[in-house]
Amino acid sequence: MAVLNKWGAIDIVADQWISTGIMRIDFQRPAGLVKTADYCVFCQPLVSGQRCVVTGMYSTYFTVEVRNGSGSLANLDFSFQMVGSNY
Amino acid sequence: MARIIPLQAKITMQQTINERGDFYPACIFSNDTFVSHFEASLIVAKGLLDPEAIEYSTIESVLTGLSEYRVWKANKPKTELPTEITEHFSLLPDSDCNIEMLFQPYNNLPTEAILYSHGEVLNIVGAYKMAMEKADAEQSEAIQPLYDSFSRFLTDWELNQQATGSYFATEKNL
Repeated sequence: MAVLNKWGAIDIVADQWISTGIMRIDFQRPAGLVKTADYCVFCQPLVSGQRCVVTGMYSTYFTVEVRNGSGSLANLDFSFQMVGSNY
Repeated sequence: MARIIPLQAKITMQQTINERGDFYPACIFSNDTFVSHFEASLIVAKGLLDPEAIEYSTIESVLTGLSEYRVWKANKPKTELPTEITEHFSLLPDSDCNIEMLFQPYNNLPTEAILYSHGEVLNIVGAYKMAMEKADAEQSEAIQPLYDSFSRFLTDWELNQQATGSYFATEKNL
């Protein structure tokens, strides 16, 4: 279970569950730019009742918390879209 | 906010006061592996805390500091980043010095130094402690090593302060 679909003008260089239900997604901007976290992430679960929330946005990665229908942290599929300044 | 610097010959800045009058006497030798573990523990701990709690803000501040450091480092000309680290080891204090403890669990060569004030380390330990009270076994696995290291670091540091009257544990060695 992991990221199912991702959209945005960035490369995902790593996605890993650092603990159950908590994923860290490392990305790279075009031309290797590293900037402050001037972007937004929209993520959504794929099954009714599940939840995912962006819990932190930083210069080279962001974190997502995913919960199942019972409210417990779980490694479940989700999709996300990133929007922001690349230049 | 913490300050992170690439290792360079003159790390005596840990003894100085910056332009705002803040002390940064804690020097934690670090590398990418350590920072990765450090960030993971902070992210897991953050998820266990009430967003309204001061400890939550502490963790977010540390994570933001590490993130801003990446921006600074990426935009700095490579020629200005020191590459030779061997000489820095001659500046390290004795092997039982507390500043090495955080680094040892990951058994890798340090490439950078993270500078924290006493209050910041105190806040980090407090945040870890609060998170540990709610953590399950898996979450504890991510947090415990860093919590133990920071706690031991803080204890040794405060014992040194009581013994010498100074928070600069390495002052004589430098």
